[in-house]
Amino acid sequence: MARLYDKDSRTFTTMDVFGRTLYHAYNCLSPEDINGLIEEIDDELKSNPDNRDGLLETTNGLCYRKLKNKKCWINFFSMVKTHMRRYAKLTNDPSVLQLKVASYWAKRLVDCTQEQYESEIYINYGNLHSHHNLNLGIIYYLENPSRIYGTLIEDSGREYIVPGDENSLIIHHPNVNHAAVLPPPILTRDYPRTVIVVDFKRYDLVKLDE
Amino acid sequence: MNDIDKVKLRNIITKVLNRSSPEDYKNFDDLMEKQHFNVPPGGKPTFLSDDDLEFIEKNPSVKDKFIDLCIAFGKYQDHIISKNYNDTTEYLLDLLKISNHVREVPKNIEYIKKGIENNLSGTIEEILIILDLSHRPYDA
Repeated sequence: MARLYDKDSRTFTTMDVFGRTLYHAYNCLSPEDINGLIEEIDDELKSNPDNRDGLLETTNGLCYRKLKNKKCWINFFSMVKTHMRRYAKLTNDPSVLQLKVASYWAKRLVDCTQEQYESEIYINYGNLHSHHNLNLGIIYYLENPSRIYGTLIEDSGREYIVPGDENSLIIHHPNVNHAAVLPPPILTRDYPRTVIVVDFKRYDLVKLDE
Repeated sequence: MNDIDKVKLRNIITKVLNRSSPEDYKNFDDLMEKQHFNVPPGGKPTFLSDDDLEFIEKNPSVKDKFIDLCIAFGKYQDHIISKNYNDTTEYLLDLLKISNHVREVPKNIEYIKKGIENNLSGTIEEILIILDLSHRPYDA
Protein backbone atom coordinates (compact mmCIF):
# COMPACT_ATOMS: atom_id res chain seq x y z
CA MET A 1 0.00 0.00 0.00
CA ALA A 2 1.35 3.43 -0.87
CA ARG A 3 2.05 5.54 2.16
CA LEU A 4 -0.16 8.55 2.65
CA TYR A 5 2.52 11.10 3.46
CA ASP A 6 5.97 10.07 2.34
CA LYS A 7 7.27 13.58 1.64
CA ASP A 8 7.59 14.72 5.23
CA SER A 9 10.94 16.48 5.56
CA ARG A 10 10.92 16.81 9.34
CA THR A 11 13.53 15.02 11.44
CA PHE A 12 12.77 15.28 15.15
CA THR A 13 11.52 17.69 17.77
CA THR A 14 11.08 17.82 21.52
CA MET A 15 8.42 19.52 23.55
CA ASP A 16 7.59 20.00 27.18
CA VAL A 17 4.36 18.23 28.04
CA PHE A 18 3.28 18.78 31.62
CA GLY A 19 6.86 19.17 32.79
CA ARG A 20 8.29 16.16 30.97
CA THR A 21 10.25 16.00 27.73
CA LEU A 22 8.35 14.37 24.91
CA TYR A 23 10.37 13.45 21.83
CA HIS A 24 8.92 13.07 18.36
CA ALA A 25 10.94 11.74 15.40
CA TYR A 26 9.72 11.61 11.81
CA ASN A 27 10.55 9.59 8.70
CA CYS A 28 11.94 6.83 10.83
CA LEU A 29 12.07 3.86 8.45
CA SER A 30 12.41 3.15 4.74
CA PRO A 31 9.34 2.09 2.70
CA GLU A 32 10.85 -1.40 2.44
CA ASP A 33 11.11 -1.74 6.20
CA ILE A 34 7.62 -0.33 6.70
CA ASN A 35 6.14 -2.86 4.30
CA GLY A 36 8.19 -5.63 5.91
CA LEU A 37 6.82 -4.77 9.34
CA ILE A 38 3.25 -4.51 8.06
CA GLU A 39 3.49 -7.92 6.42
CA GLU A 40 5.09 -9.57 9.43
CA ILE A 41 2.52 -8.13 11.84
CA ASP A 42 -0.34 -9.10 9.54
CA ASP A 43 0.99 -12.65 9.32
CA GLU A 44 1.43 -12.89 13.10
CA LEU A 45 -2.12 -11.65 13.71
CA LYS A 46 -3.56 -14.10 11.21
CA SER A 47 -1.58 -17.12 12.34
CA ASN A 48 -1.68 -16.70 16.12
CA PRO A 49 -5.08 -17.14 17.79
CA ASP A 50 -3.82 -15.19 20.81
CA ASN A 51 -4.27 -11.90 19.00
CA ARG A 52 -6.81 -9.72 20.80
CA ASP A 53 -6.92 -6.99 23.39
CA GLY A 54 -10.55 -6.00 23.44
CA LEU A 55 -11.47 -4.66 20.05
CA LEU A 56 -7.88 -4.22 18.96
CA GLU A 57 -5.76 -6.87 17.31
CA THR A 58 -2.61 -7.37 19.37
CA THR A 59 0.53 -9.39 18.71
CA ASN A 60 0.64 -11.11 22.08
CA GLY A 61 3.06 -13.74 20.78
CA LEU A 62 5.51 -11.48 18.98
CA CYS A 63 8.40 -12.26 21.30
CA TYR A 64 8.17 -15.98 20.49
CA ARG A 65 7.76 -15.58 16.75
CA LYS A 66 10.35 -16.88 14.35
CA LEU A 67 10.65 -13.82 12.15
CA LYS A 68 10.15 -14.06 8.42
CA ASN A 69 11.75 -10.67 7.75
CA LYS A 70 14.49 -10.30 10.33
CA LYS A 71 16.17 -7.40 8.57
CA CYS A 72 13.27 -4.99 8.99
CA TRP A 73 13.10 -5.77 12.71
CA ILE A 74 16.83 -5.23 13.12
CA ASN A 75 16.40 -1.87 11.40
CA PHE A 76 13.40 -1.05 13.57
CA PHE A 77 15.10 -1.73 16.89
CA SER A 78 18.35 -0.11 15.70
CA MET A 79 16.30 2.95 14.86
CA VAL A 80 14.68 2.84 18.30
CA LYS A 81 18.09 2.63 19.95
CA THR A 82 19.35 5.58 17.94
CA HIS A 83 16.47 7.75 19.13
CA MET A 84 16.88 6.61 22.72
CA ARG A 85 20.52 7.72 22.58
CA ARG A 86 19.49 11.08 21.17
CA TYR A 87 16.84 11.43 23.87
CA ALA A 88 19.48 10.74 26.53
CA LYS A 89 21.67 13.46 25.06
CA LEU A 90 18.89 15.99 24.64
CA THR A 91 17.66 15.51 28.17
CA ASN A 92 21.17 15.25 29.58
CA ASP A 93 20.13 12.01 31.24
CA PRO A 94 22.70 9.23 30.75
CA SER A 95 20.57 6.82 32.78
CA VAL A 96 18.40 6.47 29.67
CA LEU A 97 21.28 4.56 28.09
CA GLN A 98 20.98 1.92 30.81
CA LEU A 99 17.35 1.14 30.04
CA LYS A 100 16.47 -2.23 28.55
CA VAL A 101 13.42 -3.41 26.66
CA ALA A 102 10.73 -4.64 29.02
CA SER A 103 8.01 -5.45 26.49
CA TYR A 104 6.92 -4.83 22.92
CA TRP A 105 3.90 -5.51 20.79
CA ALA A 106 1.93 -4.22 17.83
CA LYS A 107 -1.69 -3.12 17.97
CA ARG A 108 -3.94 -2.77 14.98
CA LEU A 109 -7.45 -1.49 14.59
CA VAL A 110 -9.09 -2.59 11.38
CA ASP A 111 -12.74 -3.13 12.00
CA CYS A 112 -15.45 -2.95 14.61
CA THR A 113 -19.01 -1.75 14.65
CA GLN A 114 -19.80 1.91 15.14
CA GLU A 115 -21.60 0.95 18.35
CA GLN A 116 -18.52 -0.82 19.68
CA TYR A 117 -16.37 2.14 18.74
CA GLU A 118 -18.62 4.58 20.53
CA SER A 119 -19.03 2.47 23.64
CA GLU A 120 -15.54 1.06 24.06
CA ILE A 121 -12.76 2.89 22.29
CA TYR A 122 -13.83 6.44 21.56
CA ILE A 123 -11.44 8.86 23.15
CA ASN A 124 -13.82 9.82 25.95
CA TYR A 125 -14.57 6.26 26.96
CA GLY A 126 -11.84 6.05 29.58
CA ASN A 127 -9.03 3.99 28.19
CA LEU A 128 -6.43 6.15 29.88
CA HIS A 129 -3.84 4.03 31.60
CA SER A 130 -0.30 4.22 32.94
CA HIS A 131 2.56 1.85 33.72
CA HIS A 132 4.24 2.81 36.95
CA ASN A 133 6.97 0.20 36.67
CA LEU A 134 8.26 1.48 33.33
CA ASN A 135 10.68 4.33 32.70
CA LEU A 136 10.20 5.26 29.06
CA GLY A 137 7.96 4.15 26.24
CA ILE A 138 8.15 4.22 22.47
CA ILE A 139 5.14 4.43 20.19
CA TYR A 140 5.85 4.01 16.51
CA TYR A 141 2.98 4.85 14.16
CA LEU A 142 3.34 2.28 11.42
CA GLU A 143 0.01 2.91 9.68
CA ASN A 144 -2.47 5.66 10.38
CA PRO A 145 -5.24 7.07 8.24
CA SER A 146 -4.61 10.52 9.72
CA ARG A 147 -2.10 12.11 12.05
CA ILE A 148 -4.95 13.37 14.20
CA TYR A 149 -5.23 9.83 15.59
CA GLY A 150 -2.22 10.00 17.84
CA THR A 151 -1.83 9.57 21.58
CA LEU A 152 -3.67 11.37 24.36
CA ILE A 153 -1.63 12.27 27.44
CA GLU A 154 -3.36 13.30 30.64
CA ASP A 155 -1.98 14.70 33.86
CA SER A 156 -4.08 16.15 36.67
CA GLY A 157 -6.99 16.86 34.39
CA ARG A 158 -4.86 18.48 31.69
CA GLU A 159 -4.91 16.79 28.28
CA TYR A 160 -2.57 16.88 25.30
CA ILE A 161 -2.81 14.92 22.06
CA VAL A 162 0.45 14.03 20.34
CA PRO A 163 -0.10 13.73 16.57
CA GLY A 164 0.36 10.23 15.22
CA ASP A 165 2.16 10.95 11.98
CA GLU A 166 2.69 7.83 9.95
CA ASN A 167 6.28 6.55 10.14
CA SER A 168 6.94 8.71 13.18
CA LEU A 169 7.91 7.73 16.70
CA ILE A 170 7.39 9.30 20.08
CA ILE A 171 9.29 8.74 23.31
CA HIS A 172 6.99 9.37 26.24
CA HIS A 173 6.67 8.60 29.93
CA PRO A 174 4.42 5.55 30.32
CA ASN A 175 3.95 6.23 34.02
CA VAL A 176 1.80 9.20 32.99
CA ASN A 177 -1.78 8.52 31.91
CA HIS A 178 -2.08 7.98 28.17
CA ALA A 179 -4.46 6.44 25.65
CA ALA A 180 -4.59 5.79 21.94
CA VAL A 181 -6.73 8.15 19.88
CA LEU A 182 -8.35 5.65 17.56
CA PRO A 183 -10.02 6.37 14.22
CA PRO A 184 -13.64 5.33 13.64
CA PRO A 185 -14.24 2.09 11.75
CA ILE A 186 -15.41 3.92 8.64
CA LEU A 187 -11.76 4.91 8.20
CA THR A 188 -9.91 1.85 9.49
CA ARG A 189 -11.76 -0.59 7.24
CA ASP A 190 -9.86 0.90 4.33
CA TYR A 191 -6.76 2.02 6.17
CA PRO A 192 -5.94 0.46 9.55
CA ARG A 193 -4.19 2.19 12.40
CA THR A 194 -1.21 0.10 13.48
CA VAL A 195 1.33 1.03 16.13
CA ILE A 196 4.35 -0.76 17.56
CA VAL A 197 4.94 -0.15 21.24
CA VAL A 198 8.25 -0.72 23.01
CA ASP A 199 8.54 -0.16 26.74
CA PHE A 200 11.82 0.40 28.54
CA LYS A 201 12.77 -0.29 32.11
CA ARG A 202 15.82 -0.01 34.30
CA TYR A 203 17.02 -3.42 35.40
CA ASP A 204 19.62 -4.14 38.00
CA LEU A 205 22.78 -5.60 36.62
CA VAL A 206 22.68 -9.36 36.55
CA LYS A 207 25.80 -11.39 36.97
CA LEU A 208 25.42 -14.01 34.32
CA ASP A 209 28.14 -16.28 35.61
CA GLU A 210 26.48 -17.03 38.91
CA MET B 1 29.00 -3.83 4.86
CA ASN B 2 30.29 -5.44 1.70
CA ASP B 3 33.02 -8.04 1.37
CA ILE B 4 35.74 -5.48 0.76
CA ASP B 5 34.74 -3.52 3.84
CA LYS B 6 34.58 -6.68 5.88
CA VAL B 7 38.17 -7.51 4.98
CA LYS B 8 39.18 -3.91 5.58
CA LEU B 9 37.65 -3.92 9.04
CA ARG B 10 39.32 -7.20 9.90
CA ASN B 11 42.70 -5.88 8.74
CA ILE B 12 42.34 -2.69 10.75
CA ILE B 13 41.42 -4.59 13.85
CA THR B 14 44.39 -6.88 13.36
CA LYS B 15 46.67 -3.86 13.04
CA VAL B 16 45.36 -2.44 16.29
CA LEU B 17 45.71 -5.76 18.04
CA ASN B 18 49.28 -6.08 16.82
CA ARG B 19 50.17 -2.72 18.28
CA SER B 20 48.26 -2.71 21.50
CA SER B 21 46.16 -4.36 24.11
CA PRO B 22 42.96 -2.40 23.78
CA GLU B 23 41.14 -3.44 26.94
CA ASP B 24 42.00 -0.20 28.71
CA TYR B 25 40.68 2.22 26.13
CA LYS B 26 37.28 3.84 26.21
CA ASN B 27 36.83 4.40 22.51
CA PHE B 28 38.69 4.85 19.31
CA ASP B 29 39.73 8.42 20.05
CA ASP B 30 40.97 7.37 23.47
CA LEU B 31 43.03 4.65 21.84
CA MET B 32 44.56 7.16 19.46
CA GLU B 33 45.36 9.60 22.23
CA LYS B 34 46.82 7.16 24.74
CA GLN B 35 48.87 5.17 22.34
CA HIS B 36 50.40 8.26 20.73
CA PHE B 37 51.80 6.18 17.90
CA ASN B 38 54.24 8.95 17.09
CA VAL B 39 51.33 11.16 16.28
CA PRO B 40 52.18 14.86 16.17
CA PRO B 41 49.54 17.27 17.47
CA GLY B 42 46.74 17.27 14.94
CA GLY B 43 48.40 14.43 13.07
CA LYS B 44 47.38 10.89 12.50
CA PRO B 45 48.74 7.53 13.68
CA THR B 46 51.26 5.92 11.42
CA PHE B 47 50.15 2.35 11.90
CA LEU B 48 46.83 3.01 10.21
CA SER B 49 46.75 4.12 6.62
CA ASP B 50 44.74 7.01 5.26
CA ASP B 51 42.35 4.45 3.83
CA ASP B 52 41.98 2.84 7.24
CA LEU B 53 41.16 6.13 8.92
CA GLU B 54 38.79 7.15 6.17
CA PHE B 55 37.00 3.84 6.48
CA ILE B 56 36.58 4.26 10.22
CA GLU B 57 35.37 7.84 9.87
CA LYS B 58 32.86 6.86 7.22
CA ASN B 59 31.40 4.14 9.40
CA PRO B 60 30.23 5.74 12.63
CA SER B 61 28.82 2.50 13.96
CA VAL B 62 32.19 0.86 13.50
CA LYS B 63 33.97 3.77 15.13
CA ASP B 64 31.58 3.77 18.06
CA LYS B 65 32.10 0.09 18.62
CA PHE B 66 35.72 -0.04 17.60
CA ILE B 67 37.33 -0.93 20.89
CA ASP B 68 34.68 -3.50 21.65
CA LEU B 69 35.20 -4.94 18.21
CA CYS B 70 38.92 -5.14 18.83
CA ILE B 71 38.41 -6.85 22.17
CA ALA B 72 35.89 -9.24 20.71
CA PHE B 73 38.03 -9.99 17.72
CA GLY B 74 41.08 -10.53 19.90
CA LYS B 75 39.32 -12.83 22.30
CA TYR B 76 37.28 -14.74 19.81
CA GLN B 77 39.21 -14.50 16.60
CA ASP B 78 39.50 -18.27 16.28
CA HIS B 79 35.74 -18.54 16.36
CA ILE B 80 35.23 -15.59 14.04
CA ILE B 81 37.79 -16.69 11.50
CA SER B 82 36.70 -20.32 11.54
CA LYS B 83 33.04 -19.53 11.05
CA ASN B 84 32.05 -19.58 7.43
CA TYR B 85 30.02 -16.45 6.97
CA ASN B 86 27.81 -16.43 3.92
CA ASP B 87 26.38 -13.05 4.71
CA THR B 88 28.56 -10.07 5.53
CA THR B 89 25.82 -8.56 7.66
CA GLU B 90 25.80 -11.71 9.74
CA TYR B 91 29.54 -11.35 10.17
CA LEU B 92 29.29 -7.89 11.62
CA LEU B 93 26.26 -8.79 13.72
CA ASP B 94 28.08 -11.76 15.15
CA LEU B 95 31.02 -9.56 16.00
CA LEU B 96 28.75 -7.00 17.62
CA LYS B 97 26.80 -9.75 19.33
CA ILE B 98 29.95 -10.87 21.05
CA SER B 99 31.41 -7.42 21.61
CA ASN B 100 28.24 -6.15 23.28
CA HIS B 101 28.90 -8.56 26.10
CA VAL B 102 32.66 -8.46 26.26
CA ARG B 103 32.95 -5.59 28.70
CA GLU B 104 30.25 -6.71 31.09
CA VAL B 105 30.37 -10.44 30.62
CA PRO B 106 33.78 -11.70 29.57
CA LYS B 107 32.51 -15.21 29.04
CA ASN B 108 34.03 -17.98 27.10
CA ILE B 109 32.86 -18.49 23.58
CA GLU B 110 30.89 -21.61 24.38
CA TYR B 111 28.63 -19.65 26.65
CA ILE B 112 27.94 -17.05 24.00
CA LYS B 113 27.43 -19.63 21.29
CA LYS B 114 24.86 -21.32 23.50
CA GLY B 115 22.73 -18.21 23.39
CA ILE B 116 23.15 -17.81 19.67
CA GLU B 117 22.18 -21.37 18.95
CA ASN B 118 19.27 -21.80 21.35
CA ASN B 119 15.69 -21.05 20.52
CA LEU B 120 16.17 -17.30 20.56
CA SER B 121 17.60 -17.59 17.09
CA GLY B 122 15.48 -15.76 14.54
CA THR B 123 13.37 -13.97 17.13
CA ILE B 124 13.14 -10.36 18.25
CA GLU B 125 14.74 -11.45 21.51
CA GLU B 126 17.87 -12.36 19.58
CA ILE B 127 17.86 -8.94 17.93
CA LEU B 128 17.57 -7.29 21.33
CA ILE B 129 20.59 -9.24 22.53
CA ILE B 130 22.55 -8.23 19.44
CA LEU B 131 21.67 -4.59 19.99
CA ASP B 132 22.32 -4.79 23.73
CA LEU B 133 18.72 -3.86 24.50
CA SER B 134 17.77 -7.11 26.18
CA HIS B 135 17.65 -7.57 29.93
CA ARG B 136 17.50 -11.32 29.65
CA PRO B 137 20.56 -13.51 30.16
CA TYR B 138 21.30 -15.81 27.28
CA ASP B 139 19.95 -19.01 28.73
CA ALA B 140 17.07 -17.61 30.70
